[in-house]
Amino acid sequence: MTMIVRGALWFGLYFFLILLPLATAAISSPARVAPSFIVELGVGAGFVGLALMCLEFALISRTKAAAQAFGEDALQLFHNLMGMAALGFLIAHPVLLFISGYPAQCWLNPLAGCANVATRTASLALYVLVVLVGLSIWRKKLGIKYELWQVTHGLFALFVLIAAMVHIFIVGRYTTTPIMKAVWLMYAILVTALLLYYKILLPILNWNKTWEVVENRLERGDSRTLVLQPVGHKGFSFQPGQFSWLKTGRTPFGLGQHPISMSSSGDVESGDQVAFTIKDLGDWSGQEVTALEPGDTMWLDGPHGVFSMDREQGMGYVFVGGGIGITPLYSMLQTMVEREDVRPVLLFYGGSNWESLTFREELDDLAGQMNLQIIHVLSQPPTSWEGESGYVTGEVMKGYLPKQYKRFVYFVCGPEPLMDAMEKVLPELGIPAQNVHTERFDMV
Amino acid sequence: MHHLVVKGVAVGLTILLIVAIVVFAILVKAPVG
Repeated sequence: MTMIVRGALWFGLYFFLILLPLATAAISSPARVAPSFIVELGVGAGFVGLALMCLEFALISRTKAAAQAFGEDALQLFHNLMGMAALGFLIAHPVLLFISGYPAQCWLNPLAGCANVATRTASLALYVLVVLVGLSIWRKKLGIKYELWQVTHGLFALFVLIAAMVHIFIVGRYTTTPIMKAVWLMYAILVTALLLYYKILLPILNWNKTWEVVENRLERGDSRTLVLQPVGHKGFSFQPGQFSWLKTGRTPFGLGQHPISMSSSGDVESGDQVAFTIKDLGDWSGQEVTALEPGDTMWLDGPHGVFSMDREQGMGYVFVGGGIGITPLYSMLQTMVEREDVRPVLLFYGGSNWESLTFREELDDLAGQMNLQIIHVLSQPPTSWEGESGYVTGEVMKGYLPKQYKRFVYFVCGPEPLMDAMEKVLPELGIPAQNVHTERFDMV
Repeated sequence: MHHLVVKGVAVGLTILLIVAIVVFAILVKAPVG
């Protein structure tokens, strides 16, 4: 089955599940007692918003079959966007009802004398959802630690779902019919099963699959490479360019999992070591990672991701990397050397200055062992710099791309500005969309 | 996957859902009074 067909099927299932409560309500509505068109619009917005919220759990559940069709950073972005859409629908829900004459005071103020369980659960769910989305959008600006945000995000989402479910069943406008009860019960089971699997079952299954830190070395660009050894299990091989979720701490349970690209060759024998390279961005990456010592224990959930040359064969490759986004590209290049792959690779490597280019010397070594040309592009070059300055642009790329460049496959990984620029530049250069593959390393 | 594609799909889907809600409201609306 091609990825396009698989993607279409998954999207079709997603669309079906969002509309299922709405369609069920329309078909099974016991008595057509609707006072107005606006009220039904409000009810419909509520059902769609709640269904979207339930499916938000599924979008980030790391289901490999779905992730392979879209890429996990795409699913993460879709999760973010549909979360905002859900908020929009769930705000529209009370607004439309207030327009129709529902008393706003009772529905918005949980302490009002006219408030009851139905109104209180509704207002609290809405307020918590606003906070949940707000924290997700402004987490970095507010300086909230990723681990703390991850906990609150999950708990708030669960609270919103439970409160909203209680609300719709107490109101009972459409939920009195057995079929409608069955639909929402199915959603409750879906969310519960996903949570139990990822928060309880998976950590239990991984309990004995520990990894030991063998080496923790400093790299250029405020980065660290962790070399990990599987303990008592086979570890895993992976497609170069993929990532894993890393977890430090005493148990595999709970908080603070971080998506990190593997920085070693993908062709790993059973029991072999795997390396990860992590940039110091403060909190976990700057504190816990820096403090890790040989012998310390970690847990991995992986490999994940579709950003790999193994999935996209081409006559040659153009890699565009910025900052720590070089990591998956470096993994692909090492794997090509090990496989004695002779296909040409052009690497545009953007960085602030010459000293901060992670894997600078290692990449030079690889260039001597394969058909690799590296073009460094520095935004703060030294005075004696004769290479490319500024940022990786279409103009810079045109100067190096071979005549057959439209038939090459492109992999781009780096910070947001680079990614946004490349998503405009590459189509302008005439590169077919199916030949361009991107991954945003700050997806969470 | 291209992020502009993802954004386009999200916007398109949201519009479709709004249309579906309108259709739902028309289908279940009862005559007033």
